[in-house]
Amino acid sequence: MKKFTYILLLFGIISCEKVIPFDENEISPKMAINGIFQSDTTWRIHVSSSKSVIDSASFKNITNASVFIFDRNENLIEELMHDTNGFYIGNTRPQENLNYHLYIDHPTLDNVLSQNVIPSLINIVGIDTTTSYSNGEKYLDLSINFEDPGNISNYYLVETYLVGESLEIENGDTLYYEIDTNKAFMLLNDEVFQNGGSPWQDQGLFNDILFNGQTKSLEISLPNEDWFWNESGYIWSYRNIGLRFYLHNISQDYYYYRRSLELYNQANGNPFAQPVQVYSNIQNGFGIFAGAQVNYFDINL
Amino acid sequence: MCVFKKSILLLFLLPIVFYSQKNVTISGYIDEAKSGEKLIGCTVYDLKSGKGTVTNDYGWFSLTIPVDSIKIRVSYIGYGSQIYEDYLSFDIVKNFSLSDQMLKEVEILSTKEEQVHQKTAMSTIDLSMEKVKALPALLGENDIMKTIQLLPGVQTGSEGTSGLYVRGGGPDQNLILLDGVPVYNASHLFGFFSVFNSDAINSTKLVKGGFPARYGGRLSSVIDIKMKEGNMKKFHGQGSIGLISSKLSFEGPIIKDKTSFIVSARRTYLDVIARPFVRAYQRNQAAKGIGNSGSSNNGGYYFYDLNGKINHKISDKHRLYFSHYMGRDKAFLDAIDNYSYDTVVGVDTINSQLGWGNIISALRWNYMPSNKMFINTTLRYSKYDFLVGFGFNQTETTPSTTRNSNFSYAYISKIEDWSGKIDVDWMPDPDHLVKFGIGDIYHTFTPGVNQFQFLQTGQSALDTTFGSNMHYAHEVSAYVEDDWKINSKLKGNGGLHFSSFFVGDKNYWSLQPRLSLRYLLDENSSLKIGYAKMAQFLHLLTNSGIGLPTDLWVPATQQIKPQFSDQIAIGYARTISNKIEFSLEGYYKTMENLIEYKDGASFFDSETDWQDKVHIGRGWSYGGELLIEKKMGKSTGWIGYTLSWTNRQFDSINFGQTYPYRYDRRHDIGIALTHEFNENVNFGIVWVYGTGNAVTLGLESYSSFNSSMVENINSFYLPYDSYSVDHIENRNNYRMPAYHRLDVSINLKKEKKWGERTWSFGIYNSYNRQNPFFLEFTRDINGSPQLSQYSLFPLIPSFTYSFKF
Repeated sequence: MKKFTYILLLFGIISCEKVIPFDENEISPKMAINGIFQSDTTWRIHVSSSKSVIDSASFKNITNASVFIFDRNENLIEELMHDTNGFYIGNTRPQENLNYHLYIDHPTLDNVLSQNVIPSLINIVGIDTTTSYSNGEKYLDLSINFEDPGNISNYYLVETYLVGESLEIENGDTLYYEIDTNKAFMLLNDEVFQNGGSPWQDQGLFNDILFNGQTKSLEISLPNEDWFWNESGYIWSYRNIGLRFYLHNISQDYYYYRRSLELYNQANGNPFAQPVQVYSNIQNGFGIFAGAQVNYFDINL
Repeated sequence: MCVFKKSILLLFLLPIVFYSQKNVTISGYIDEAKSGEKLIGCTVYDLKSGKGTVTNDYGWFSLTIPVDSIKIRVSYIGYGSQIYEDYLSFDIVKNFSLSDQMLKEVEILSTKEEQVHQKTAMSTIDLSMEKVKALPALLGENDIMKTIQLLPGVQTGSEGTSGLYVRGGGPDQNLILLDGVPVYNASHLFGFFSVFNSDAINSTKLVKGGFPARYGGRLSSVIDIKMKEGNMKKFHGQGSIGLISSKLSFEGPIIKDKTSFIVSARRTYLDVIARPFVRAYQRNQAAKGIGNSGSSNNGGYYFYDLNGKINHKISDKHRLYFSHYMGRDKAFLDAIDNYSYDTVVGVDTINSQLGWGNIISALRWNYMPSNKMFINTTLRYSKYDFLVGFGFNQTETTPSTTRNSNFSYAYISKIEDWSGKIDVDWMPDPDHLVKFGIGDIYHTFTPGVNQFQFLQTGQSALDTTFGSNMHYAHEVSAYVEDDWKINSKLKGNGGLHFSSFFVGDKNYWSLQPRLSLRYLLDENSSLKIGYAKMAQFLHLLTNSGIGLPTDLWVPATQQIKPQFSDQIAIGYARTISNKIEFSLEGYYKTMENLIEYKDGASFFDSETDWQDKVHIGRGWSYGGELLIEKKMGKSTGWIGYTLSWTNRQFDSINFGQTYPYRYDRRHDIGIALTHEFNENVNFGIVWVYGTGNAVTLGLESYSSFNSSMVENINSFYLPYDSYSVDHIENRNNYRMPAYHRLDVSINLKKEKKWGERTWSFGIYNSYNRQNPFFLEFTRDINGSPQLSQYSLFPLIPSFTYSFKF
């Protein structure tokens, strides 16, 4: 629709704009939950309040809620206590393949409910690397082999962080040296990826529908910076020296949430795109309560 | 297939079984006396036997009655009736010409046509072109599609556009036929005007449900538009000069009473009017030292269309027609920049354009092998293409060298059809009108191709083309139907439509039963019921859902199945005092295999095949429609009201939950009235009201971040370390304000020595209602968010000067 409007604007026939009533009083705040839990860390849930889209105030942390974690039989595991800035902290660690229920009570806002599980840890068998060139650019091609558990649907999120070394030398003196770590943009051409849009992404989302129960060889490529500039005794260089590849086995709810969030970010502000609904598994509220299991593999380049 | 064959045999045999006594047949053509233009839907009724029929789409009729003296009444709305009396003992051919002139052989009776309660057809409306021309129109451009939007069951898209949404269907689900040839994009100027020039149109019929078996290929409606055939008697011309366009038509005999022609053309001239102003502005700017005196820009927009038809009467039994339409829209911008530096003289030329258009042709042969049979054979061609183009050329010349580089990009999409069709009307007796036929359409789909070319002096040329694959398909169809007067009260139209679609290695087929029944409750009222199954082997990929030229026509494929619908309708019709027709209908329609772009997908993304960019789902619509129409007298017009619900459900959209269709409109009212003060002055008024469109808006927002990635919760600051997500409860979750508008017009005619002239004055949106076009959250000068509504058309006055000779 907006595309059409922009075309019309070219012809100058949009006649007018006016502000129309929007009753924000009809919209009551709800609790927004940001709670991704992993088996290697203790419970940590963030609670804030939502607001009307025309409310210009900032989001507010909620500090007076009661946050409970139950097991699947409704036995209380732990009450998370507010620590700071809307974060509720626990002392225990969630365990994989156990179903956890979240219940949050608040004096004035609707109580919220959710439940989720941490999937199994995925075994990364190994990663093969090769170097290729395209249009004069150097690429690192990764072939990641991992074992997908059978008889169950698994959902994956992959991310790559590159460690780079930056160096400036003038007449033999080192002027600058830094090791930095950056999240890498990857070329996701493997058929399993479900991101949509450009194949260049800083995260890859996919499920095991094409390789359930098999050893998957996942192919991705990423630019491998390695350059050197020398002029009149001034040397400036940058090269990647290491790589950490993360393979998250995530719950189905988390997968839906991340996929829709990614589409939302792609479409947000784009006048040509249909507005995107972000998935939530919070009853009476917004956000996500979901488990993820992370494994990683380091490579020296 | 066995069931299909048996059904066809049964339908053919039934009329023969029921027909056994000695009969004679009178057949012929009925035309308008002044012009020879054929009259469609004209009633032929034998007052003695009580048998009757109507003329077909070519003005031909056949009436079989018992051997006896006859008293035939031939009547058509707006024309004087004729009575023909004779004693018939053998079949005869008799042609009639109707006019308002008293003829010696005939007797003028009151004007009459088949009334709404007598018709078997449900959900079918015939529109008179006189009504279309008398009603007010946006910028004075009379438009058949805009008039159809005023009828119940037909929803308008967005303001000003000519897209049609019939009983919950999409804009692709309308079979728009111009002289029997499908038109794929019926829009000029991004949908504000339709491609149909009202001066060239003879008749228009809208079918929304209870589809007869002869129609197929679309789910929601048939808009059957017939062009004029050209005056067989005298040379005539007509034209008009309006605010944005002018049009001119000529028609007349090539050989009197044997061959006629009509040609009609229309063009907008905003680009022509604007050109001197743009040049003057550029000269002025250059004189002030702003801009480059060596630069010039030229841009604009125009559309044109051209209709032509030749009609040749070979003999009483053979007629030949050739009709052609071509129309094109073009928006363009050309820029030339002359420059020089040192010893280099250079010229940069940039051209960009957006264009789309249709070409439609039909060659038709009417053959009457007997006075009970009429055969219409048609060869058809239809093409719609859309083009976005950009070109850059740079030439730099020095005293010793010339260097040239040229880059061009084009995005092209296209659908092209070649087709053939044979339709037979067979009238074995007055109680049966059997129609059957076969046809084949060869489609070529080009859903989206990118072309890049790069040429530079001294470099190897780059010329590459990529995009979605072309598709080739055959759409074969066959049908049989019988319009059967079962007894004095019960009449029905039953039939079967078979269609098959061959695309690649895949074949889809569909057998579609159709049935309409009418039961007369008394002399003035009837109950009607209709059922139709429809299949559509084409899809329209649309980002906006409002029918833009960028929308892509694509076929059903191995991956994407054809669309199907089932529709049932029940209605009550009544004619009050022979003047006012009242009809009330309820309907329920389901639609399967609808497609929608995935979130974020766009036709510009040519790296992904279109089949991977769509979701498949279903839709359904139900509601009631009321139409009260007065066709005769000084004041004529109609009041239409629709109460409806339309929903969609896609497993991958809205998390699988049902959501309202964008054009789900609970209440829709269309009132169109005209009043003739005298022969020279008539007044028209249109008022429309519609529940606001459903749009998707995020009404609440919340913070989002990956809580597992927060390293230090003590330094976490919510407004900076998270981002805002607008929560959308459902797709199309918010209603725009209601739409309503009043248009008025007055037409002042005057006879002149050379013919007739008419001044038409109109006001669109008379009370200057700011109707919503789209909504958006914006910020005021203090930065506070607010909901803003954008509107298109305020009060717009218009005038048109038209003439006839």
